[in-house]
Amino acid sequence: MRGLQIFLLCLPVCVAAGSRSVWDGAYTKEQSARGKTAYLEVCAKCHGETLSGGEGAPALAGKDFVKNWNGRTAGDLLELIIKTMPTDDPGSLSHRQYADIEAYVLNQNEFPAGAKDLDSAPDASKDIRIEEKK
Amino acid sequence: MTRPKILPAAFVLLLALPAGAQRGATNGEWRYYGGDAGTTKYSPLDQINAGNVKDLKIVWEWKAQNFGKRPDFNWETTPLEVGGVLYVTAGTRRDAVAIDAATGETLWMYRLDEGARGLVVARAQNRGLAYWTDGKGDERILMISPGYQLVGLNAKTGQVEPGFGTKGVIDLTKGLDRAVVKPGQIGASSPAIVIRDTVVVGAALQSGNAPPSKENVPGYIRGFDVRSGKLLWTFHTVPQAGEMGVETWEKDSWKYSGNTGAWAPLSADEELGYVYIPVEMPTGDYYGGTRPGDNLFSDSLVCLDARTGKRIWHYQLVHHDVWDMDITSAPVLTDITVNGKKIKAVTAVTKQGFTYVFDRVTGEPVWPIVERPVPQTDVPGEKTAATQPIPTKPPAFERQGTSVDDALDFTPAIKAEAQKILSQYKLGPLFTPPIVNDSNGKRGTLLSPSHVGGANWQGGAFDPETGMLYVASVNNPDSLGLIVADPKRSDMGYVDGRGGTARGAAPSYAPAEGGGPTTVRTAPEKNIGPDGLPLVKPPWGTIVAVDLNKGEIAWKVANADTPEYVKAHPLLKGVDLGRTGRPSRSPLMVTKTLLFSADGANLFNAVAGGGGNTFRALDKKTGAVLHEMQLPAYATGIPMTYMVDGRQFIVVAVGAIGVPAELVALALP
Repeated sequence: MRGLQIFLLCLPVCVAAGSRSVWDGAYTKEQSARGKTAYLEVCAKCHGETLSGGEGAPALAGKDFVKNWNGRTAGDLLELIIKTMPTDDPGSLSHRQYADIEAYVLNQNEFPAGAKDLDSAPDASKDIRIEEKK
Repeated sequence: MTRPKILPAAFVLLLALPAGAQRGATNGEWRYYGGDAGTTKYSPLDQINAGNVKDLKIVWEWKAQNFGKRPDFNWETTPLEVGGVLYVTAGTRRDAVAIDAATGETLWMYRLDEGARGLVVARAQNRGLAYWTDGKGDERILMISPGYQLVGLNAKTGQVEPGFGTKGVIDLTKGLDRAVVKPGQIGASSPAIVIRDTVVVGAALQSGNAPPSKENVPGYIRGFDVRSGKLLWTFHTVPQAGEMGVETWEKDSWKYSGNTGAWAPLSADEELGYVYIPVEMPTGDYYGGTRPGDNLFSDSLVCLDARTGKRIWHYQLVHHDVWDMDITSAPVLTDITVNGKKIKAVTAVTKQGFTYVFDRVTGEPVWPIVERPVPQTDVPGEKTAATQPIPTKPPAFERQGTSVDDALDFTPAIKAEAQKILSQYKLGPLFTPPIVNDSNGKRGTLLSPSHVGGANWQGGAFDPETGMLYVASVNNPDSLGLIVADPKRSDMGYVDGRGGTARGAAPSYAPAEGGGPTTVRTAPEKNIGPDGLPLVKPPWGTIVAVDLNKGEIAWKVANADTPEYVKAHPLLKGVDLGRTGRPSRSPLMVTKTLLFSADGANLFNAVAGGGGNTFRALDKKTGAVLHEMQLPAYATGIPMTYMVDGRQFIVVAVGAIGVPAELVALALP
């Protein structure tokens, strides 16, 4: 019983040590720049040039966006984009392009760049939490 | 190249009509986007009739898939037909293409590679081309590129007309009173119109829900000589210093405000030499604190002399717009007889569900339009107009305003839930202004018709023989609420907050998938009603016949069958739903014999349940469905019709999610 208590006390710490957040640098500057090009060509027509939203399309940057995604992961977001975007032809970009676009979205929400690209496989970033605050 | 052969019956009809009377698309052709310069979408052809329409079949398909880097799915185009040739814009590149109208064979294509300029566009949608001839062998096609350049092409060869502009091209971003116009800031989604040797060009800008700035490019209207491309005139839709209406932009807001373009197609009267411009709203769809005043010529129907650009008359339909109530469709030229008096009228059908009818020579309303007091805003910094113009006739073709009585009432439980949801919003009559999100206990202002309700670019179709105007409308209340703009992203003060928090919660059931990509769109994100259902009672989509000789509604029918996801909803087992229609506007075209319609598309700004593959022929007198057939995908454009070698064709653009755009030609065996 005592052993279990120790295990439970340790659990949050152990999980925190093994997971990451978007504040740890989940993408690279170069990836975000590539993502910007793709975003403007494919996404901006609905979500707006400054990611502030448009007719029938929500904002992808700003307080409400981050609040809405708080607690979910970069991998969840990537999976959603791949499955549903662009709305007229979901899944039509390469997974690398989708990851680049998400990198640009993270950049525009002022999450810092890091040393490694956001992986193009959603499962690889399911441990990167999106958090409103550091 | 084949030439059209007119049926004797049609020829007799043309001769029998008095000179100058409206005839729709003449000579078995379709020379303008809307059939004729008056955008009636009417053809006197009658080979396809109530007796044989059941035999219609697809005779050819033309695929647009590989025109552009990525396929186009939402092809809002309507081809032109002249002398056995169809002219159409194709694909995301917006190439101009000539197609054999009888067989669907590609004859030529013109591709303008604009580089970066053409990649980021204000509006991806495109509706087609304009045609001009001097009648002596000079035939031209006018195209507006994604990057907002006007191109003059030889209609026979597809080569640029070297004497037009600079090597066939005119840069339309020049001359807009702004030092810098960035790629994608301004463009056009509708074709130019040519009237009296003048090409008149409108403008479309990016959505203004949450604009990055109160400063934007103005969507001026311009006229160019069709031969040389020389700029003849510019009409300032946002008046400049000393010009009429500048006082309606208080605090010098005319200096920086933009938009106010005309993104819907234009119409013209060749006899009068007038062009009719449906002007949209100014910068900031839901917040106008940065542009106090009535903001002329926003939301105005403007009549200009086509050769000089001189304003003949105008009528503002919405003062100081904070609802996104653009004039969304081409004004329809309607020759009518009211109380025994013949009137050359022009008619605008709008998002707010009104049919505005004017004498097109003088601009006088055919029936009085009365300024009535409307609810006022409480948003800081905003000042709404005290009154708005309300037509006394014809009656609105769409339900206006919101109340708990509108609640979806298929079952008592659904009704209770819908009323509960309705009570979370500020409700009220048409022109109830937006509120700040989640203020005074309300998520936002529920608007009906909303900014994506009522009529839109599909506009009306007019039968000049009967004076009947057919309109497709959508009943889809939507919530408007504002949030304080993030100063890093916008200097607007307030921008669209998408109508309050916790909106668009997923339904408890899993919408049916499968059945291929052309089934009803499953994502019910915008349906805020009980368990993913619509919030209000049907019909959700209608076709309405407005008798313009009487100023009355002759009939109103649901535009389509009940959406599949509603029929399959677990809460509705065993409930008689009736025929609810679908929240997608039916593209309408009218001939001597029939009214043609379809489910419409749902690829842009549509809610769950919109769209479908069904194409229909309706009885013009009753709206009864006479024939239904399946297209390969949703009708995304307005159908058009023409006669080649004694055979009447109907051509319509189709596409759907994952189904690249194509043209489909229908004819009798």
